[in-house]
Amino acid sequence: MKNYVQGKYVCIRDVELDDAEFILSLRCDKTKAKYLHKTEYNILKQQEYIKNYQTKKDEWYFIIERRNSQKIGTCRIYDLKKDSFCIGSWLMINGCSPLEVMEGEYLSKMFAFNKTGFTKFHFDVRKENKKVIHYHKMMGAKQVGETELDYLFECTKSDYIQNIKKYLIVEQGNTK
Amino acid sequence: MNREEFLKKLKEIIQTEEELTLNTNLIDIDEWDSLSMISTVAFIDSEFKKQISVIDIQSISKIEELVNMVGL
Repeated sequence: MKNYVQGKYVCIRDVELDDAEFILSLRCDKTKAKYLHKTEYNILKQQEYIKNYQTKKDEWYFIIERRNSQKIGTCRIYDLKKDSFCIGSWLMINGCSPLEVMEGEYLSKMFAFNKTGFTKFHFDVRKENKKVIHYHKMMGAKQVGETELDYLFECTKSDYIQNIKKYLIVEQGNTK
Repeated sequence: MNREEFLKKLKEIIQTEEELTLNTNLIDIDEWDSLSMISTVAFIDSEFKKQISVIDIQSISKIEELVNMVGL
């Protein structure tokens, strides 16, 4: 069954093969790629990657869309640990509104919390990506370590919800 | 906080190399994106106890409007 969650401003849905070009346009964008693992612009390889993802039971790759079905971003849930999932590949096209940006990520996290029953999530951010680091700290994330390239963060579900609701109206795991 | 300090803090939030003045049009700054807007809303809330919504901040054009809004 395909996963689909509708919010007020955006929806998230499972990635499809024909999203490969859109994903590559984000991942190979010069400004955004500064903070990402290097991705080769190869549609066939990207489609293979998506095919592989479609067989996974405990990882989810979402496309974020506007209500008019325009694709505006991606978000990925992976690396499930004892009580925590990893969130990553959070990329949005230029020109998105703050509410679209926050809600796409919010819906992905709430989907993962509901599916896994976990109470926290983890992620890493390139050390130079200061704006994103600041955003996650505002949303309650705590730095728990670092590597040569990245800072490592964790955040509890309750801290995240307490902070995101200052900016996004949320109710029972969905937005209104 | 005075106006000069406000501009310095805003430059740090936006992560821009551009010199900011009261007459700077936010929309002309490449780095003025959604995350900058959310961070600015949070900064104004925590520093000045003024609530601006993330919807309203999108319609602000000049930095002077922000400065007036926080009462500097």
